Amino acid sequence: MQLLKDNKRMYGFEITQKVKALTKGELNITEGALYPLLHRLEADGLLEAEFEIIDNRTRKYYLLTKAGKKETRGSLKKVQEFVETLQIFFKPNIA
Amino acid sequence: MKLTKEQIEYLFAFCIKHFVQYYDVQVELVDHLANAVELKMKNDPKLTFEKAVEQVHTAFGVMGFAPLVAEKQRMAEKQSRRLFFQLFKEQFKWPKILLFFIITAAIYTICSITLISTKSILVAVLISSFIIYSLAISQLQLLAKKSGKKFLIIEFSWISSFIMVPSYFLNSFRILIEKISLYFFTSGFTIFCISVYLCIYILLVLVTVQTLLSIGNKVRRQYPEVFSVSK
Repeated sequence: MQLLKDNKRMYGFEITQKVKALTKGELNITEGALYPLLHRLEADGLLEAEFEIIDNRTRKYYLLTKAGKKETRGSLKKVQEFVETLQIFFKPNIA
Repeated sequence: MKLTKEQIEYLFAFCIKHFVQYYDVQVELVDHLANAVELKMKNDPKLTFEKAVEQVHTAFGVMGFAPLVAEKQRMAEKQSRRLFFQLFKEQFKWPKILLFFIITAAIYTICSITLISTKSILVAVLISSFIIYSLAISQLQLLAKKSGKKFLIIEFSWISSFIMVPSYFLNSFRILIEKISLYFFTSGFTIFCISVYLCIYILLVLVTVQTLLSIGNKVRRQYPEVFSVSK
């Protein structure tokens, strides 16, 4: 969702490639996991779709809805808080 | 190297061969397969198109496209249910709520005349709602037929959830008429309850039809290539 927030709109294959590039191949999102997730977010109203004909085929782009943007902000905050909590455990500030 | 029109058609046929019958699922899969195949052929120019397609298909796992289609079916039901409740909630916002009061008042006035008028309005509402509902469904089916394609969002939007709405109300009325005495049907409070009940039923049918039509419009807007004039 953060990727969609940064790129405005993306299609399935583009997301898999972008994740691979950003994580330097450490994280590989499989097609079987990505599409059901995208469809679930779309059904929940967090994503909406746009269609465009490119290179003899129809491409489905995903965009964040207003609710999706709000959810992304909330999720990001939760992840940051979780990371901060983990840091306390791994780097305890012994007084 | 970009894939040719024939190769894209091959990918559509490949999807059908692997049990993906619905056009709205095929479109996204074909684009994914095409992108992955193009990348594979770019990295390995000796690789044939057919071999590249098989390799990409393997990446979907042993179950192939099946989990994706199953999930999409569940999501199509969820999406249409969400749209239905969204449209239903809108009926109770200003100024649409006026329609609710007008219909309730009209039914109350007619039902107050005689018991026969109550029965007549009940039958009239049920028959007309059934006709409107059937028309909306047949329009959706006609749309799919016109395109020559099967759409998952059309097949799974109404079968499971909406078909229950009119039959539920129909059964409730049948039970009421069979079990409750004549006096009950002539009291002012009962007439008021029947009016509200019937009005909600009318709104539910209208919203169901609105949902079905909006799904039809969405399909037409998203896949204009299969609804071209030549079809």
